[in-house]
Amino acid sequence: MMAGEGLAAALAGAVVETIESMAFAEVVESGVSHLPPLTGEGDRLVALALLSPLRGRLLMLVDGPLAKSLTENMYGVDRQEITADMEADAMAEVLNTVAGRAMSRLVPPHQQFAIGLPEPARGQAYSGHEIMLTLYFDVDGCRLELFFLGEFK
Amino acid sequence: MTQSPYPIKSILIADDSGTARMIIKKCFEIAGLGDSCFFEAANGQEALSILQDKRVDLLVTDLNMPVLDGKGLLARLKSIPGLAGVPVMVITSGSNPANEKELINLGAALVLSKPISPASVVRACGNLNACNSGVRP
Repeated sequence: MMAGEGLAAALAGAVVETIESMAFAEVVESGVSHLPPLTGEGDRLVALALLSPLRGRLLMLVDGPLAKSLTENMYGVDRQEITADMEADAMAEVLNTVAGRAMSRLVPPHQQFAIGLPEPARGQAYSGHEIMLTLYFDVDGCRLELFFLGEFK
Repeated sequence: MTQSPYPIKSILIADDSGTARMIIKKCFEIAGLGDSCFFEAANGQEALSILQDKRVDLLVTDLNMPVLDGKGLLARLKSIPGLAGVPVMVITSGSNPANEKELINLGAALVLSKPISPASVVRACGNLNACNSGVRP
């Protein structure tokens, strides 16, 4: 298991790098108290398993309007052309890229690593797992949360 | 855009994410390959079917895919005499030197890390030309 600070820094760096590169949005890691609340409208929750050598689960929660604007930027089309499937897939691809970038920062270069496939998640994605790390981000004034979950022994 | 020893007229993009396929295609178009014919596959099995049916000058594949993943696709491709010479570019979020080394040993010509950019595609295609050892029939 990686040291907490190393994991948090790697995840935060990966989120910033990925979203700025893929969706051309400004990303700032933030304290939760400085962020607007989630709108509760069309929030996207995506999960991905970290398989080796670090084992755990990443969950990314994206505020609904933010998910739409990120998808719009990634596809380069107007909002009315964005379907729910496109939005879900775009957020999955963001988390997939975040996970890979984070692992490449954490794992020594001579050691292989493996991650799972991203998938849409519901609230039960939390059950049976301990939230070991939560990161909050301000993305163009909207809220994005990233959770690292371990497994109960 | 560097002149290829053989022109890349057709590109197959294999990735389970439609978003990723779209981004990869856009990067290749901006990099100067907009006149190429693009095929898309959502997994390695679909990619194999296309490879056996169409002429493909470059296979661009993700690693993590359902049904048949990138490593499986690479292994199957290299075992088929008529397809073993198709150059393979792996574009993946799961890349580091150790992972890259394994993929090169399996027969990939190049490995790129997501997120990619048109500039990284231009560099990769230049390296692909340098790696290519012959003209395809």
